[in-house]
Amino acid sequence: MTVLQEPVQAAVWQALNHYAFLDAVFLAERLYAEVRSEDALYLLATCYYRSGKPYKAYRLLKAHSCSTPQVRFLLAKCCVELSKLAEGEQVLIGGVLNKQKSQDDIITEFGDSASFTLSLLGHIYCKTDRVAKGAECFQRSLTLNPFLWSPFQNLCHLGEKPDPDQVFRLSSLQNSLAPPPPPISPAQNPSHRLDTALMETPQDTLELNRLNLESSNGKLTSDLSVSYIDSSLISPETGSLLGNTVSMASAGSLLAKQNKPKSGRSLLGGPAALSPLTPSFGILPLPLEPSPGDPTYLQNYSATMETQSTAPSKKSVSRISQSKSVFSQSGNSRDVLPIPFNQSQTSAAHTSGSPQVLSPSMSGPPNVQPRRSSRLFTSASSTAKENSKKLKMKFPTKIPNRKTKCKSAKTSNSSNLNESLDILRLDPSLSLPDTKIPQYQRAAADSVMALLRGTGPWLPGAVLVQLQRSHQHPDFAPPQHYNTGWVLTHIGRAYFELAGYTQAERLFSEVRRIESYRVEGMEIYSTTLWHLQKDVALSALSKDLTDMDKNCPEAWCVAGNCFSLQREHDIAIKFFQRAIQVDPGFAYAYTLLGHEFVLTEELDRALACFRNAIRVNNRHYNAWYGLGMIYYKQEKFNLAEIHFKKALSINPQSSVLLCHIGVVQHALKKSDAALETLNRAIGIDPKNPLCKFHRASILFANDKYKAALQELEELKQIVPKESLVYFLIGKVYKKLGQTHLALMNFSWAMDLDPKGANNQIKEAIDKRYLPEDEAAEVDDSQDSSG
Amino acid sequence: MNVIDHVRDMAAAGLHSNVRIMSSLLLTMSNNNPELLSPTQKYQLLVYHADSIFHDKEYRNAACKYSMALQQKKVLSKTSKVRTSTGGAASNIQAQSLPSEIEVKYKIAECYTILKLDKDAIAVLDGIPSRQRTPKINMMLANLYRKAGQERSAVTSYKEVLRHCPLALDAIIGLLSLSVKGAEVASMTMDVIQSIPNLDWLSVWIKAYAFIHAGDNQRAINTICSLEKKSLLRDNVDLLVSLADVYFRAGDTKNAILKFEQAQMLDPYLIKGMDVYGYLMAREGHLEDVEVLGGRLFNISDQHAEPWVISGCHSFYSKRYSRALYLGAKAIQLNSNSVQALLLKGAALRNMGRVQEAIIHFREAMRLAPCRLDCYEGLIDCYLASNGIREAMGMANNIYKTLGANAQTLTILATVCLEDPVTQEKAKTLLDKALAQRPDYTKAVVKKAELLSREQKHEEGIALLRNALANQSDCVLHRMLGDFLVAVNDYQKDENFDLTLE
Repeated sequence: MTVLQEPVQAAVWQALNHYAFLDAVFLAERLYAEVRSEDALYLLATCYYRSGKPYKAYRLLKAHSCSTPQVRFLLAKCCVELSKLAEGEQVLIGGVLNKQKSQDDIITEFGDSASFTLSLLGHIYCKTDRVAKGAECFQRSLTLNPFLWSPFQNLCHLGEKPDPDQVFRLSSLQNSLAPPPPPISPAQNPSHRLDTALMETPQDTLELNRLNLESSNGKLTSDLSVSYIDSSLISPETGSLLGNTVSMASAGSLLAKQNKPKSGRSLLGGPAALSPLTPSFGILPLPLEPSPGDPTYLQNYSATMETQSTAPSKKSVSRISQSKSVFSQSGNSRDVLPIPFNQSQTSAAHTSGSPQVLSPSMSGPPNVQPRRSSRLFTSASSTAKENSKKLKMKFPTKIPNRKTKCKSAKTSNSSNLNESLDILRLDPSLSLPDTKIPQYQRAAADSVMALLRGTGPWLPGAVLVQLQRSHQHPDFAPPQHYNTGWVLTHIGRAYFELAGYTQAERLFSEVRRIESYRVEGMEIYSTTLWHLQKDVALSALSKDLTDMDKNCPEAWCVAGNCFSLQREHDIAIKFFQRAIQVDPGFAYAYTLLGHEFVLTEELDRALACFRNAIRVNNRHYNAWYGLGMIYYKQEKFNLAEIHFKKALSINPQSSVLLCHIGVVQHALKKSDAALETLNRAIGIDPKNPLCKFHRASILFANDKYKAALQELEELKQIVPKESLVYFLIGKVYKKLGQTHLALMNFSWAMDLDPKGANNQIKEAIDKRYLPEDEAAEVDDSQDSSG
Repeated sequence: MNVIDHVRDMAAAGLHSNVRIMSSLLLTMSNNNPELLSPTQKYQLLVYHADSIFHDKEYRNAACKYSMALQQKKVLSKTSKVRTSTGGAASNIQAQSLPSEIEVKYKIAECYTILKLDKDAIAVLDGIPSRQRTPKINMMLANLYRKAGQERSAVTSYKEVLRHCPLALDAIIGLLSLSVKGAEVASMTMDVIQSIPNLDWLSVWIKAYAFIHAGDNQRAINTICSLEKKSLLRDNVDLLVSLADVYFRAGDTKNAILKFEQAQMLDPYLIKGMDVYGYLMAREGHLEDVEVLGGRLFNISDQHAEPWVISGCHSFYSKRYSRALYLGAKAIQLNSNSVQALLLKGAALRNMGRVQEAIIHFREAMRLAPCRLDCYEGLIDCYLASNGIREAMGMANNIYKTLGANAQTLTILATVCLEDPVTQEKAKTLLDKALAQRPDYTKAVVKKAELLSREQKHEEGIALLRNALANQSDCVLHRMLGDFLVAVNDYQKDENFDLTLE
């Protein structure tokens, strides 16, 4: 007995969409046992993957020949997840006889998913230390699909400086937004590039197509690609005020979902979730009965009619509200920017065979009418029978314009479709001629592009530059974006890297307030707190994070920092090691562990840790700095300078690094170069006491007593309670022969540091900055000061 | 129903141990009293007795008993000639129920084959008039001929098999391995292909194997891949193993391992081809996996050469050469045609310093698999180990001429040239040629880097390695790059050594 595949597949997707992974896996396993087709295999593997078991999917797929690109992509994804990088690479690009496929081959082979494939490939390349190729892949991926954020971010991490204005442009999409051609084979048509951005799982559409074929019973033989556009979209004010929304829903998907609106509603339409807007939607005119005489309507929505004529009108009201509520619910979505692919792949939360939705959330006063009307225009690009085997994408999307807060959320097909249906019915005048669609699509896409371009200033490097330029809060982010964890974390990190710990702390605590669930960047926060010696805040943070998520390395880094601050170094080491255990690819954990080993004087192990950090991420400048520190301690100044310079080349704005280089240069007897370096450091950060102190010391060592004295006087203004400063001043006066002033300063130094905790440092200073023959003298002075 | 009928029924029912005891007793009775059983009955009894012995795997004994039966049969036919004139129908019926003489001869040949007495087996089968040969006999004969090197006779026999059974694919493979043209073979099966639905892939299949045996790896791979793409033949283990094997011969280790892995995941009881898989994994350094694989295959069968070869490879790559030698010898004993076993034993012998013996093994492997490069490489290594640069050079030139100028042969030749200080320059040009053909061929890159380091051209070497590493990540290359960087005192060496540790 053969089971009809499609209903089972539909059931599996429905289960997946509702996070019922056990059911989905069970059904998919049964289906696969029954038919053993490649589609079923893919479905089963997808179920495994989405239920968080990539190794299952990996082993399953590995045992079978994977011919279709989608299966190979999933296999590669699993390989990467299981860190079998070489195998993943082989799966993606391995040709015959070690000949690798070129990127063009990949693009033709993977078609619409090529951008994601290239992004994955770039990831593999970067992990295997082939940065140039990786960067190239990311670039290609971005040109194919400028909606992708993660390749862009990765490019930035690689040290490339992609220009957001260049990257997030639609020029590459020009033809893609051209009117949908007579859709004979939409999958092959470049015009669907735009769709890929919003694309989710191709098999969805595949399945939908099948369903389409099935349920339409041959009625929809011709392709339906007439779209409806809300006329109010045309008006510029509304356009700018409100999110333009593109919804590309297909008759096929309508049909696909027609068997499940009920469950969708019951899940999504909780009354508690109604947004303020809901009422207004509730009172919207109910669906107009389609006029039989309207040919367009008929043509496009013959399928719809099948569904809707059976559904009572009441239902559609509730559907409206339900779809609204979905959006309002998702208002706190974590990521400012859509990273559609990641989400659909990694988080079960965004499953659904359905559309990625960028939805406007209400930041302004409810301005219902235009908002509603501008929400959607729908291009129904449906499918032709003959290519049901090919991938076709239909993605209802909504793209807000810049001013609206955007977030990525996904709703189930049903809600989207219903929504689009509602709009369509609400406004019978909607239907515009086909030819106008592209402009609106482009306008909508443009707004997304503008949004993405706007992210440029928030990128780590850019924030740094901005901060340096203005020495104040960057004001470039629009307020609704500014107050999100992502932006604040970036700015906080930038302050941290400029050693502006207090500002960083303020920002991070704001992040904690807004998004208490955010773990990214918390390791930086904890280090900030460590620098500021705020042990109470640090232990509170540590407790909170470890309670929340024991599987993220950040939480354990925070815990380690907490114990490090308590001087419980052994425990701290354990926690940092746990962080590494949780995620061996987390470079910062290695670095922190290295610092901890330095504190416990286990330099060899510390070296190994820092090297590991560099191995994981060779642009992790903290680790280069750590290595430099160790070499400095071991008095291998040459090596130290090389490592510090490497760190500086990654983070050229850091005054701390410059300061260290200066000290090392001085140790190498290159005093002039050292002074120059320190001048640069002070140029970057005029208030850095460490730089000034070292400059003063070097000046003093070079017998420029006046300059040194002036420097120290300035320094006294910045750090008035530092005994070392007075100590040095004392010595300068001694050199200048003003003994009483010298003695006065020495005794101040004594008063500020009565226990002589810094005596070691003083000795070190003496050794380093004084010529040999004066050593005896120094001893005298120290005796007098001690 | 007399006693013979009872014995026959028992034999038919498969009660061989019972038949053996019973027939033995009856035969003794008949010997002591020749009157007790008629010659026909005695013949029958002898055959049944031999059959039961055959089932007990006492092949020499069985062969002897079968010969006795044949002897008896001869007597029988002499007497029956007399009788046919008188007897008539009754004896005819009896004759029909008698085990056929040809079948007995086949059994004898089977015994001889198992006992590895190929010549005797051929002699027995040759004794059957060609009219009376069944496809089974022809097949066995063809295999024996091929083994003995009588190619012409083998081809005729295979063709005979195909004439009767056009879907005898092993016969087709046999023909192709005897370098019969693919088209000719295909023409023999054409009628069947056309008359039966869903067999259209068969011609492609024939083409694929024709390419394999012609040594055209590239096209063989393409053809098998196209077969695999047809959803009906997806995940066929035999195809996968063949594909993996071709990948291996073409020097594409990565794909070969992937395909072998897939095949053995699909069929955990797979034995064929696993020796190559084990060897590849051992060569790539996955010794633990090799050990697991060997243990698993021993559980499936220890009567095949493969498990022995695999654990031999494991021993070899963990530098226990005498153990590898023993295991290789055992594998050869089980299957004297196992190329992998011969190579293993040869390599073990070479590494133990018994070069002359090793050369014999490599030569034998070469004879069995003229398309496999590693046989030649092993042999050349042997020559180089015994300071026979001239022989090595001759050999390398030979390969280069017979197998054509591809990256692999060029590299082999270059390796030999590198040994001789006179031919360094030639080695360089050869390597450049090889790299021009396949820029990613790791072996060539490694050799070139070695050459450059010998010539102290560190910068060039670094550039070469960096270039190669841009396309692939390989720990050997990383290590070499690290060495180069040390040589030029580049302090960033740390990075590369760290990567090698991965």
